[in-house]
Amino acid sequence: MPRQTSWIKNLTADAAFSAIAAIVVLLLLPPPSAVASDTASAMLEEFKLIAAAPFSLQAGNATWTRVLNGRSCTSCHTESVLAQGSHEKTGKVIEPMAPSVNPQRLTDRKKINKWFLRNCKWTFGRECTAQEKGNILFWLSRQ
Amino acid sequence: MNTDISRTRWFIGIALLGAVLVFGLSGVVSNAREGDQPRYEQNALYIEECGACHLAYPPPLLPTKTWQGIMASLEDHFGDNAEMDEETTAHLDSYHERLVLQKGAPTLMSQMLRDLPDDPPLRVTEFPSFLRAHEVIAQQLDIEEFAEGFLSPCADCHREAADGIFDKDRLHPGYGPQAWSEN
Repeated sequence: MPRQTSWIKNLTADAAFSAIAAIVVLLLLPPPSAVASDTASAMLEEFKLIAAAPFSLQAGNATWTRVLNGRSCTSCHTESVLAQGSHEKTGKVIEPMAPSVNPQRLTDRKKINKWFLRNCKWTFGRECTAQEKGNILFWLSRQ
Repeated sequence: MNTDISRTRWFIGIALLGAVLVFGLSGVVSNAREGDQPRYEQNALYIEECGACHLAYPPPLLPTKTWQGIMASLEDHFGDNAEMDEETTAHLDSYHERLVLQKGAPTLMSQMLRDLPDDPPLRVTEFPSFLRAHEVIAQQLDIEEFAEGFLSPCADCHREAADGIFDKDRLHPGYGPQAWSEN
């Protein structure tokens, strides 16, 4: 009888130890990497403070496909954000913009801001407004 | 006596053969490895910033003045906007400065200094020695001069361009830019 009790005791102690170890391991693991919606949502909240109107999918799509002086977002990113694009001049491949096929997209705030700046200036000859950026980001994050 | 000599002979024979084998094999291995080794210090930020649109041209290809000219005109980078924030600019400036094309021990790339004017062009494809080295391509294609950007994608032929390897004997054989067929 005493033998059996110690066996059960050991088992309980083992289980408790395993549970604690599991919790410690979970705590030590790095937090899950940022997903598109996290970064995009945070940025959308900030754009919302400056933008006049609520963001819309339609407006985002319209800005993305707008052609000005023969230039458009689609010049390099192609008609489909699900597809690979290529740099208009150098031909270098641009991976798809849609987070659904390219989960790395819209996860890096610095990168998003850099390309908004460069590409709005190239495409429209000026920086995009918070309204335009919000619309595009809202639409793109759902592609 | 005879067995002694024979033992010494065996020993010398094995040592010599072994040494030759080790020497030869190590040569083969190091030669094979060389292709994977970049010939200059790589920089992740540089590749991210400049390599997104085109080959991140190895800094040792261009002299200080050219790099300064390029970095100062990124808002209109040959028709594209490639501006970057001050922190990034400063980081890349110092990276370029460490590795620029300059006088010193002759290397394959140092040929680019030949006949280079004091005010060098912003494009390596306009450097005198670059043009001379690529004359043969115009001859082969029977064209007078290259269209703008024709020779810009180094890696189409120099597959290891990103590693700074431009040796003639490592050219991708029988291959050229897609534009070749249009000429």
